[in-house]
Amino acid sequence: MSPLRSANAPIAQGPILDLAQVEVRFPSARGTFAVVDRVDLSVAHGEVLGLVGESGCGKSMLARSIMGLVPPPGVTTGGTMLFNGVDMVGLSKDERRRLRGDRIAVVPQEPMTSLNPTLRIGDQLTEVLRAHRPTMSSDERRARALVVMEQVGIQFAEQRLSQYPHELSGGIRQRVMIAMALICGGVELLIADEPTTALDVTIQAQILELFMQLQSEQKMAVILITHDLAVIAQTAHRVAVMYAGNIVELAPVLDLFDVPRHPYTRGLLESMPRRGISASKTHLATISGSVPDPSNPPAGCRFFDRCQFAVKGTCDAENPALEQITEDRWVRCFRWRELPEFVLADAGAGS
Amino acid sequence: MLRYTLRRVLEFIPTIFIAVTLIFVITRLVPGSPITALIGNQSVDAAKIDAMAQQLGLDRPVWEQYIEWLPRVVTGNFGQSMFFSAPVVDVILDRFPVTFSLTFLALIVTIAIGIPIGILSAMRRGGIFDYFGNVLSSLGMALPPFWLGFMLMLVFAVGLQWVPASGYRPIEFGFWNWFSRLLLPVAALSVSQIGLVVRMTRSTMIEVLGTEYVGMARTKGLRERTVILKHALRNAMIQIVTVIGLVFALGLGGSVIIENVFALPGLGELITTAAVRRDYPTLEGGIFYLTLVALAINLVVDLAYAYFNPRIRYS
Repeated sequence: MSPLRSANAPIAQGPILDLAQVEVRFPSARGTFAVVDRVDLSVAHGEVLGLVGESGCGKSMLARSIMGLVPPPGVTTGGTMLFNGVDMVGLSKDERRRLRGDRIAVVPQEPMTSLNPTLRIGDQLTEVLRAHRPTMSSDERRARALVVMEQVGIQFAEQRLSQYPHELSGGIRQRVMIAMALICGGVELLIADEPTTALDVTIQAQILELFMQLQSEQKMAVILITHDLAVIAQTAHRVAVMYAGNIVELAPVLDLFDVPRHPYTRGLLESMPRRGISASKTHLATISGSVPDPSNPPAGCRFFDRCQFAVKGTCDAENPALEQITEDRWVRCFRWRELPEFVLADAGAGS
Repeated sequence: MLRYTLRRVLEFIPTIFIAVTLIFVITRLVPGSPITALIGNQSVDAAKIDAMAQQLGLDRPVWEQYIEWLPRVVTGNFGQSMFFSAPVVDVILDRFPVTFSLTFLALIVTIAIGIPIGILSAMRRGGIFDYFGNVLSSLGMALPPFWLGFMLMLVFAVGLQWVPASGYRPIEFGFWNWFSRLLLPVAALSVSQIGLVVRMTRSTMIEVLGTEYVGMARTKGLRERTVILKHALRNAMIQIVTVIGLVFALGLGGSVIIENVFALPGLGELITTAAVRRDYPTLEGGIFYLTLVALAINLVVDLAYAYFNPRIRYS
């Protein structure tokens, strides 16, 4: 598969989104605990940033925090979230609402459950305009809906408008979700939360391709949340690896796949299915154990229990800081310099 | 939608047949006969009793009575009332507005109070409003309507003398004359209904508020009011409507007691008197019409259900 990544490199001017020390906390019996722990992350204009990690690492919660929709009793505490230079943390609820669906949009994982089963497709599309473009007439809204539907490759758009979600196939539903994100025409940041996971494999490729085509046409920044590294390899410019609420590695996509610095990233790459694995009868590697309970994080490195390179006394003493190791690479590991060279078990790895 | 409605209506035919048969069987199974009730304490000779039985058709075997009775009943003709010396249909139509006013007003009050409280409780789950909503709805469901009726009567009619204690005036006598006599019975009947609707609305709304499409509605930047009323409530209504139908059916049953407490000359009161007097035609007719109302409500619920749930409408 050829990379779908847009050729135009991210535009260099200041970032569209700049997160500093963002934290999402939930109350517990013993005070509070962080699900997203002091995350620093920026996304450039027109950049596709891959956000990877296992389930429960805080990827989706970080996305909700950016949207201003952390589910109660959770709260975004501390930190700054600059969107185009404006700190969203200081905005009123209504100002946050105005950004959502207009300048920052989301394409969800499950198009079926994300569409309201009792409302027509047309209504669910045009209500975004009703919320953000109150001066548009209903005819204009309808016309705009037809335009975006065509743009995302929905056939018989006119007819689809009066249909209900259950009458559409999974692929078309996801196209509707994408149309919903684009309908206002001003989206600058798109958060795609596992947008292809719930789809058939054949449809996945189509949707991904559509995604990247729209991304390069519209020059929007995309945060692509996924645990599918193959998808990341094809689409992202840079990758942030999250583990237990921390960002543990941040690197340009090719560098990350070539020379992963964090043991967790290495583990993820090793457990990726690839050509030749079954032929050579080697088992696909796994990372043993599971993500630590965020309400009771270990004192040292959060990956300590599962890390094959962990050293007692160093790694379990304190959580390492996210260290800048080159101009565009960061890693959160005490031992990144000492790790053996990374070699995947079989040829034909990655994309 | 039209085909759906038609299908629902056709499905009533067997239901009505079964209901009518049950009514017939139950009235005949009740010990005693209309003749003993009619003659009361008078001493009457056996020939007279036989003549009366013949006149009322009670001398023939029960199955013959049934076969003769069924076709008449299906056309709504229940014959003469044994006591009112008037056609049963007239007696019932005379009483119907009372029961209708009572149950329908109670239903409106229940919906108008129960659903908003349920929504607010769900939105403020765990808060002080939710807490009081919970306590009061439990209390409302626990209080027996007849007891509540007497208490309301004691306080507002006997004590404060704001409204009359009992009786009924048709609406032609003026709105207040009609309404003031219904206030207490409607209150007594709706309190427990409100409790049920609040709890059901609350739990359904909490469930719906947790769905991904409600989350998506917020993600789209819709106003909270739109999220709640358009996205969440619309889905919750599918279940709430079912409960409202149930509540109305229960209300019809409850009205029998409430009408007796407040001396309202409604269908419920008619049925209890007819049962005591073994006035078979009136008893059968009364129950039959209540059944029809319950079926009509079922139809309305089914149609509302289909209105809120497109997956039903098109299947």
